[in-house]
Amino acid sequence: MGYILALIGLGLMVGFAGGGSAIGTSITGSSVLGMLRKRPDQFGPGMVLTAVPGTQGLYGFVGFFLYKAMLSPDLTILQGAIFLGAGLMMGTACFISGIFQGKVCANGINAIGNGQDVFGKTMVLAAFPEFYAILSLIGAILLLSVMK
Amino acid sequence: MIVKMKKLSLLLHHAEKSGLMKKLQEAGLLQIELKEEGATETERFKALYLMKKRSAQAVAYLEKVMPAISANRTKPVLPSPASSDPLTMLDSIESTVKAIQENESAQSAVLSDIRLLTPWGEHGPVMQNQLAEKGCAIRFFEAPDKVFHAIDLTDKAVEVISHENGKVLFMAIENGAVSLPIHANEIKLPDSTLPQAQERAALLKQETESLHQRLQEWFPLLPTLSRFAENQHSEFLLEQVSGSLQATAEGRLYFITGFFRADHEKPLSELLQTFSCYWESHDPSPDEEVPVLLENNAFFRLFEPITRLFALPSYHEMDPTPLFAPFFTFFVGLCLGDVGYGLIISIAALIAFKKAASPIVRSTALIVAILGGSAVVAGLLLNSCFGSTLFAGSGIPEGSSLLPLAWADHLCLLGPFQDASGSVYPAMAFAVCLGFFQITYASVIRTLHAIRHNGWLAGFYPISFLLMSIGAIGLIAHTNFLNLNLAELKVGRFAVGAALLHLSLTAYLGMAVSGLFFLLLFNHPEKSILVRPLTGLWDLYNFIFGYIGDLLSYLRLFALGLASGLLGSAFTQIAFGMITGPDGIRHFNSPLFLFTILILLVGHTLNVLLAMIGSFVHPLRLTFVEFYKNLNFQGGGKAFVPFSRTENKSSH
Repeated sequence: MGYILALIGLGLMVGFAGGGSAIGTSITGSSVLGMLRKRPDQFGPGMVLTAVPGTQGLYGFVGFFLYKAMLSPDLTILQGAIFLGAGLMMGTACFISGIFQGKVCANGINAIGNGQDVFGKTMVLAAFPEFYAILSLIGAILLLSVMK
Repeated sequence: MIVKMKKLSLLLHHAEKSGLMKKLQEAGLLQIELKEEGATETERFKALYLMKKRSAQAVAYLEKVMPAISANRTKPVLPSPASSDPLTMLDSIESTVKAIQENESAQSAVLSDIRLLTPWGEHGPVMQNQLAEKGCAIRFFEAPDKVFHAIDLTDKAVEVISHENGKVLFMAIENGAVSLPIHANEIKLPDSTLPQAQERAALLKQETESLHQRLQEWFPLLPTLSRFAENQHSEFLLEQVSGSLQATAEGRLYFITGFFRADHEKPLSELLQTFSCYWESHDPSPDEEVPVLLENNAFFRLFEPITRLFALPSYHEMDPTPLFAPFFTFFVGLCLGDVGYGLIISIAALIAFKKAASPIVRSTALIVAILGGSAVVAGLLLNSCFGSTLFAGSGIPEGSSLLPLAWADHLCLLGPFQDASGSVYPAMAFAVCLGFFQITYASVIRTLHAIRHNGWLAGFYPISFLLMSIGAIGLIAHTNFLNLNLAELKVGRFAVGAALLHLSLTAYLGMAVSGLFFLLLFNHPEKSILVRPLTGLWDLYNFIFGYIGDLLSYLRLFALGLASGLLGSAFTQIAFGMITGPDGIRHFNSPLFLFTILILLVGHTLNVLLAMIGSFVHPLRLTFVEFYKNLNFQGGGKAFVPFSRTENKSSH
């Protein structure tokens, strides 16, 4: 049972984190395509901002990696629940953070398309929603120490 | 490095204005501060602007069409017109271009007509007119298969014209006023017949060719026109700057301010001495907005476009280029982390560098080659080549390495290996340690910069973060805070965490407490000392969570490297799986070996392209967010663009 819970947890961790990043980067990528009609010279900043919401997927992957080392068929239900909790925590935070970070970046990209020099400011503001994805990773790391 | 600037203040008699401005423009040493926009828009200014625009457009048009027209030339080029008067040339080129554009527009409309008429053949509009004379109407429709079959055709005279690609083209004949309700897309055909439209298209094509031939007559005179355009641009800039100068003493004197490179003071003084004007120069004050010019050595200059991508530093900040360039290079290498990919990228970039003529392409190719070289180094450290293990060593399964050399223990310090606890990935801890190093480095630079520019007191605030971070990490290691086992942290076989225990708990406690003390008392020196502890608490909150977030953000270096390595490894396994028999032996003489090569080529090309994008973007993010934040880099500087024959800078 513990093993099953753990596998579900890992699935949620990587799946939702990656899903959030996929949606986020799609939102930003679409905005870049719109922006290119007005300012094709701004593809470089647009590409960098597009990749920003990709971070949450990487955090999910790192979390998976940390927990994978502990994965074993002999896990107790409590240990499996820790996997599940960490997966839920990271999956939810990274999913929402990825999507909304994508929206922040998309607005920045639109502003760049309208001639405003806001690349740096967008990078800084986009770090705010990501902070909560990082907190979830920290939470997952701390939960690992409980399991040990 | 930011080039040191000086500010020039100059008082000039109106009689010398024109001469001095021309000399300043030729010298291109001074960026002149202009009055607000709009003040310069005199009649002459507007006329010059128009002429500059017209000539630049004409040159750009000729340069754009010249290769295509010359390549398609079927008729001999007529001799160039005798008159090389730029204005005559301009008028003639503009009228020809206008005629070409009108012709192209008409051609596009006729081609659209031909597309519409073609499926209906030559009879369409003709039959329509004949039937109309007899009181009948003919209508043309287009409908998808399903829609057409759903139409009730009872009592309707319908003829299917074509049935292709799931679309049905049909016409319906109606008698007089009775209009049939047919739910399909009705097509309005043009008035002309197909042969008429084709004839018109051929005529227009001929006319366009003739116009192109007329345009060709001007090609040999393009250099003359280019020079004229440049002169117009230069005249316009001169008028713009001259008209924006601040007049005093009822227009008899002009007051000019501007910035110049401090090392250009001598040539500028020599120039000014030839006029009877008064000037003085001084260092800019800290509250002045000074234009910024970056000047770095050949290596760091390659990274200046990355600095500009975020923002130029303001004049009173540091140039972050040499500070982040080595880290950025190494980070990109770590993210790619593959000897094979790095070599391919470097070789391709070096070939591009050798073949390209454009300086921008050459410098881009050079930086890509350097980053590829960094990937080779990181690939050696990570023991990875095309996603496979490169060298053998302890903890590496026998026979899994590409080369039988047992160098992994000495060379591949970050490469994964197996021990009693399972797989060990030293790159993960290394990424966080690297982050700690870069953040600490940024804090040290920030502290030194603050002390250098604002004195010792200003250094207490930035150094407080440094002391608190090192103190806190030491305390966590000593007390095993939250069972994090920091003291047992290892990067591969190196006990990094144990090194933290070389300093005593008291020393770390002292650092953390003194850091906290500095933070609470020396933050925001412009505020009252009574308010500072409160603002300091807010800074402390931001620091605690920001610092942890910053450190963890560096994990992306490990994650990206691992992801691209695993993907590469998967492609290799799939490819060789095609020729591996049930006995585990690879049969290279199998016909499936062709597929192996194909999968290897396509798979690794795809992987290296994907990895390159991620490997470039994520180190950028670490530079712009984590590094710049800890460096307290704000940016926002405006580029130094001296008044010259080609450039001008407006500032208020």
